[in-house]
Amino acid sequence: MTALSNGPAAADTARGGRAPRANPPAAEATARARRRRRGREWLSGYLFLAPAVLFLAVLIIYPLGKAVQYSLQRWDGIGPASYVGLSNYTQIFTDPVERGSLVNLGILLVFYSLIPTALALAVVAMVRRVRVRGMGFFRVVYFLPQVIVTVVVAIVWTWLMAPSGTGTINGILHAIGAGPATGTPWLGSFSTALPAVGLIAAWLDFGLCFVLLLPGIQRIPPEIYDAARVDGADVFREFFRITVPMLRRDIGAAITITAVAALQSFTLIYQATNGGPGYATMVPGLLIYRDAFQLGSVGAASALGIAMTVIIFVLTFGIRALIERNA
Amino acid sequence: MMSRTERAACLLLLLAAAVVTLYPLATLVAAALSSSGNSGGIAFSWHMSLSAFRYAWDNGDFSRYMLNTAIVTVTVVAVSTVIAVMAGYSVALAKPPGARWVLYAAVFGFMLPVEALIVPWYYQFRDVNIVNTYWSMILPQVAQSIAFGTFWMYVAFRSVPRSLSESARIDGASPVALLWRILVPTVAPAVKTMAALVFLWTWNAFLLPLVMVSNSSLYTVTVGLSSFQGAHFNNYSALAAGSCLAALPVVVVYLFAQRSFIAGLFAGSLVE
Repeated sequence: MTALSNGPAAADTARGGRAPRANPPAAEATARARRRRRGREWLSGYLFLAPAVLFLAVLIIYPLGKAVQYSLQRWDGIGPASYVGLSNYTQIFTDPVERGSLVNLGILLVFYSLIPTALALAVVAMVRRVRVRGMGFFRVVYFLPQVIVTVVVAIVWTWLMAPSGTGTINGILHAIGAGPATGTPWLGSFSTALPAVGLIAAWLDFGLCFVLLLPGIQRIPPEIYDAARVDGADVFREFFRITVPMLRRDIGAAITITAVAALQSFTLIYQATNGGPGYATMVPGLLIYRDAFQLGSVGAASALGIAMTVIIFVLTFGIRALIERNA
Repeated sequence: MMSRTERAACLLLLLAAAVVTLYPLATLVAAALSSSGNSGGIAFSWHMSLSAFRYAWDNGDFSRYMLNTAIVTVTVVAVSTVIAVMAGYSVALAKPPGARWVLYAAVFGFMLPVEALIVPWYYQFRDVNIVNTYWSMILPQVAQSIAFGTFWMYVAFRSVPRSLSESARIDGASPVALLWRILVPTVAPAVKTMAALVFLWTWNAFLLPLVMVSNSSLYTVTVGLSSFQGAHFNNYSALAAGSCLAALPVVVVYLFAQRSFIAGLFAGSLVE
């Protein structure tokens, strides 16, 4: 790499041939040996890289190009395809179901990302003040939902959110005298289904945010807090003047990771509500599956997939830019 | 320095959060251990029985689903780990001209959602007649894991002191020996984390097997469980037992390698 970046003149000198001052023979031999070694290293480098390049080219880059191509077509997956320009993209904003799925995604982002990050931030701030022992235990427990197969999570929560039954949310509310024997079907009614899915997501992501923020807050030197206390700062000033600014990057990471998870909520929604009731919990991921594999609208599905990709990139780099600018 | 009440309140809140986290999982285990055929909803019973597990394993075909998932997951983890270690080494240390572009492609590929690639993958595989085979589940996940792993191993190898590989090379070690005998052991924790995460993602995968496989003898445990729920939505204990079976392998790996899992979290923030 250095030989290349030094430009042709330096490379010539290294090669020794046309250089004005002749290199001592020993140095020249060493240089030649080094060059040969570098050549061999590059060759083995390419060989080591080859399988990865093959997989990335055939199964990531090529299919992405295909997705872009499909997104400009009307195709049912079987017959001939016709070019339709950008209409599959404009349809994302004009079709009420597609637009609705984006609105739902926006609402879910709050539950997937902002609520767990805020909760976790409050809890780690409190943990820092009180220095509780046994944090290892809490960390392992809170993170557990992240490693449970998502289909299982959805199944358990559909039970817990059933209209009635011992142990369900409604059952517990009834037992403590806060609800009727048969309560709201949380995942089945239009007004509660989306927040109910959101609640499951918040349950899933709290531990992730907790584990992401904990090491960050433990890195903040205690002297900073001591100094603030001497200056008479209360808990809230401490939180907003020290904790939040010092954890800026960690908070950004937590929001980004959970927001990307929100975009990939297909499994949870498919299993818990299948987008219903009506389209109350429809999200782009589920719409892609339906359009492409059940309704034969390959073009519309591909356009939504590309749109999701764009949203992921905008979110990731947007959050980063926001955090760096306020640095 | 803090008052006792504040300490107590803090501990209480942490415990409450732990209860909220564990409650759904506890109801699941309790339902799975209740006697088979329970259709009265989730219920705690002191009469424990493994009959629901037996039912799910034999009649529910979970033995088949678990085997399929194990075949897919082990293959994806093994193949992608080897390929990603080689690629990461190449990009971080051997650095042949142009290697940087592979790194960019890997990071880019890591950020792409399955939802964006599932449609072209399906038609690509239909054209070569591998839909409804293990290959259709293995190949895309190997590619995605390589995308993540190449970047992950690049970060790990970059932190290896240059002198280590230099001295080994002067001793005449071949590139293969240098990589596997000297470099890989020094980055073993990163390799372990990568393997743990790929294991989690592959075991948990749902959309890909759902789309690729319609033959129920090839179902992975996630798709099998989903279809089992459709057929036995009233048989809570069997469904709970199936759920426990599906979740167990990842939970076990997590409990033994939780540090690896948690270290991997920062993968997402590294891309930033």
